[in-house]
Amino acid sequence: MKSHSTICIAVLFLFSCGPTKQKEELINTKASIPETFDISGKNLKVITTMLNRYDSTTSLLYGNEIAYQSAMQHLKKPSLGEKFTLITWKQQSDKHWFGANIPGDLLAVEILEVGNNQQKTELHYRKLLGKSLTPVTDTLGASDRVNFIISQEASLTP
Amino acid sequence: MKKIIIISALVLGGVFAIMQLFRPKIENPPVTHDFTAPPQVKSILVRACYDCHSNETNLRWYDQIQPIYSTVSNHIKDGRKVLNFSEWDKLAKPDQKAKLWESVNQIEQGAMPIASYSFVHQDSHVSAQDLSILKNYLQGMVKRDIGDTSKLNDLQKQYHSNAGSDETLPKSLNGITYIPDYKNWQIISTSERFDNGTLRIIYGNDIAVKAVRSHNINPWPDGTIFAKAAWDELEDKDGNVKTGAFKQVEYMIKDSKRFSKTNGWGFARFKTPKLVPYGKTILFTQECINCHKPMSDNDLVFTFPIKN
Repeated sequence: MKSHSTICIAVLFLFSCGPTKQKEELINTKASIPETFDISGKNLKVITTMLNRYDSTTSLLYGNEIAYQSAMQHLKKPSLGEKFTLITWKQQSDKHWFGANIPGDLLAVEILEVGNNQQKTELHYRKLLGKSLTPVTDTLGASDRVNFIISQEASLTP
Repeated sequence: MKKIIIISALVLGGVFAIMQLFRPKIENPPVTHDFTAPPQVKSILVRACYDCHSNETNLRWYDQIQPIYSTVSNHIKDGRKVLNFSEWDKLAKPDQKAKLWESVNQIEQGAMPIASYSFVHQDSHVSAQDLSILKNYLQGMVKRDIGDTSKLNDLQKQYHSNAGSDETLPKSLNGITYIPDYKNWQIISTSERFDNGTLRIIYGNDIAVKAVRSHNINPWPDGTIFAKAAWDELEDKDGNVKTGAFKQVEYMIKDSKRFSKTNGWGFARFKTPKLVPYGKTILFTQECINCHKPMSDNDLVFTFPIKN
């Protein structure tokens, strides 16, 4: 009986000694957008994605319906009521696929809203930095960024 | 007691002997076009993959003993179907490239060579150094098309065609209908695939986005749908890369009952703006499963979702 038990334990041991993979952290926490910003609750649509090879950054442009339609029609000029949000991340290698880069650290969130004041178009541009979404007060380069955002075309989605 | 042991041993020995009579034939069909690569790359692939993924199978004496022989025979049959280095010309150029990247990824994720095969065939082991040689080889294939006018033309052609305006939605062979609403979904992630020069957005329906928010993603809940859209990369001289021609949209739909045969996921791919369903037969889903297999511990999902 004792020898039977020994054999059973040995067999169990053999079959239970396969490599056990550590449970991975699957959420991309580096790239996650703070809940306080609630991007998915803003009723925005994804307009396009882009990246810069030299900066190793990748971005995602969102817009409200007016902004989305403008980008679809390649208007490339501000229209009243448009709201854009551009999110930029540093890229990181995809640990699950050699051959891919995915968003890494959250670098910036830029918001552009097109309003009007006494029938004059007003562009409200804000930039928030990093995970803490710290507002940038320096307006240097803001007009280039506004032009960059306005000039984006929507990705073709059949 | 001693008698029982002797009888058991005789019975087992008899069964073992009879098993040796059942031998499905393993043939080595002619090599029509062998895969070519620099010698250091080729030798790793020959050593680690060719027994099951070529027509040059080298059976060792211990492979010829039943029941191992039957297992080996199945491995070879299945292996050659998925990837055959001896019939390399049967694949179109982009497919050859895709197969190589997939193979190296399968090795890196530990899915290949199959553990039981490596255990017996110690020489098939791919070391960290071997893997680095393979990855460098692939990296050398990556080329950047800066200001590629043909890609720009492809996009312009798509803008001016009215493909996809047909009212009836296309359906894949496993019964999945194209879901146009993905454009209104939130994102799960984006991805730059430098292995094939595409930019991708992975959209998720409400159930998927909520699952990410509540960290309920392994397994993903029933009702989860991902849509992964892919476009050509269009790069300018300043390194800005934007989306070009639409390549395809792929879906993964979680329904553990409906798709029980494919691990609870329904897979579908619709290519070009004409949304042509991928797959010649319903067996195309096997291709999906094979590629996603290294993610078995992650409910077959490659993407690291972004909480948003």
